[in-house]
Amino acid sequence: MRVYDANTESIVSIVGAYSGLLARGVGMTLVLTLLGFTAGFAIALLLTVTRYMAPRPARILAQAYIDLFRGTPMLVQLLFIFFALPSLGVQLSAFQSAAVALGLNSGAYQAEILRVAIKGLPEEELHVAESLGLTGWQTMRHVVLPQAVRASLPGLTNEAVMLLKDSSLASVIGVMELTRAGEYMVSTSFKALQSLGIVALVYLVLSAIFYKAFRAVERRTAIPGFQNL
Amino acid sequence: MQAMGRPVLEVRDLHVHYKGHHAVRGVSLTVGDGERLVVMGPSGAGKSTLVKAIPRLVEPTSGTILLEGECVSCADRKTLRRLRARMGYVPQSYSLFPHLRVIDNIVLPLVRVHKLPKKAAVERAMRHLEMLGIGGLASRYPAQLSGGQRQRAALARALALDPAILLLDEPTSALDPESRSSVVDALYRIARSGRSMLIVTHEADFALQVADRLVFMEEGRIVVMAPPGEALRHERVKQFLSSILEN
Repeated sequence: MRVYDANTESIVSIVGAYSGLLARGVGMTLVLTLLGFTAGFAIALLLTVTRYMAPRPARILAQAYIDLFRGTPMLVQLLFIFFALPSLGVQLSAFQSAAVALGLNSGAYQAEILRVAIKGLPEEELHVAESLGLTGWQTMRHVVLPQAVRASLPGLTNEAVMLLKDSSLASVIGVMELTRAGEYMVSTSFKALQSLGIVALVYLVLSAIFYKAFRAVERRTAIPGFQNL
Repeated sequence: MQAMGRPVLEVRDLHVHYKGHHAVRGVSLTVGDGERLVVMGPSGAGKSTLVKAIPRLVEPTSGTILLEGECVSCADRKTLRRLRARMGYVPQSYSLFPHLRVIDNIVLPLVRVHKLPKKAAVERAMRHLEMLGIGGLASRYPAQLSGGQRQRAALARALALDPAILLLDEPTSALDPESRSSVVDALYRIARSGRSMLIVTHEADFALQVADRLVFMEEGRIVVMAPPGEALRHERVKQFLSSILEN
C-alpha cells in the first residue's frame, strides 16, 4: 500500500513560488467581498424602508426581489448577469458581473436579517415613537434602524463570511480571485493537495479576521448595559 | 358629575376592539383643564386599551375623541401626529429608547417634532430631569438606570413636551416597591403642578389623595365616575380598593 507523506518543504516552496499570485487572489477576493457586502447593505436598507413604509405595490416588488435572490443559486445569478445580460444590451466585465451578483444576492439576505431584528423590537416602543409625534421616517431613522442594525451584527457577520466564501464562484467566469489562483497553482505545479490546502488555509485565516473585525464593531457600538437581541 | 373648567379631553361613546376582544364598550368621559382623572379597575377591564385608544395607538372601532376641541378620532395622519405631540403618553414599560442616552430620549422629540433648536431642547430637557430629581443621570443609558429612574425619565420627557394632557398607563406597575415610591413621589409633584392628567393606576393611596374624580372600569365599561368620596360609597369600588390595600 502506498502511503503519501505530506511534504512541508513542498508547501513552503509553493507559497514562495506563487506568493504574488496568491496576494493578487486575496486582494481580489477581499475587494469582491467588501463591494458585495457594502452594496448588499445599501440594498438591504432600501428594501427594509420599502417593506415598512412604501405603498403596497412597492412592498410587493421588494418581497419579490428578496424571494428571487434567495430562491435561486448565486451561481445561476452570476452566470445570468455575465452571459445573459449582454443579449439585453447590458455588457459587464467578469469582475463587474461578480461584484453585481454578490451585491444583489447579499442585499436580499441582509434585508431578511434586518427584518428579523426589527420584528424583535417591542411594539410598545413603536407606540411611544408614534405618541411623541414622530413621523414614520423619523421613527425608522432614529428608533428602529439604529437598534435593528446593532441587533443584526451577528447575522451580518455570518453574511460577510458567507460572501467571502461565495466570492469563489467568480472563478467560474474567469475572475482571478483566490480560488482561481489555487486552480492555476494546481495546473502548473501539479501539487493539488498542497495548493488547495494553502488556499483553504488562507480562506480560514480571512474568515477568522472577519469574525474578529465584526466582533470589534459589535463591542464599539454596544449600548452600555443593554443586551441586544 | 361635570369636569372642572373647559374640557381638555372629551371621549364620547368610545368602542375599541383589540386583539379579537371588545375591550372598551361605550366609554364616555371628559378631563377638564387642570383636572386629575384617575382610572382604576381589575385586570382586563380595558383601562390600558382606553389610554392607548385616546392617541389612536390602538384604533377605536367607533366613538369620538376630542383634544382641546379638535377631533382626534377623525384626524388625518398629519393632524394626528400634531395632536399626539400635544398628549404626553407614558406606558408602563419600554417607555425610553434603549439606544439613546436619557438626555437624547428627551431632546429627540423636542428637536424633530417641536422644532426646537438643539441648545434650547437640551436646556428644557435638563430642567425637567432636575425637577424630577434625576438631572445627574442625563448622560446615562436607560439600561444603566433602575426601573424607577427610567419611569421618571419618561415622565420628564412627557412633561418637557408641554402637553395639554398627560396620559399615564400604570406608571408604577412594572416596578419594585423602592422604585415605585420614587415614581409616586414624582407623580405627586406633577399632580400639584396643575397639569391635566388621565392616569391608570393601582396606587390606591395616590388615587384617593390626588384624584379630582375617580373612574372605576370593569369589563370595558365605566361603572362609577365621581369624586373619590362619592366613588367610595359604591360597593364594587370599596371591594376593589380593599383588595389592593390589603395586598
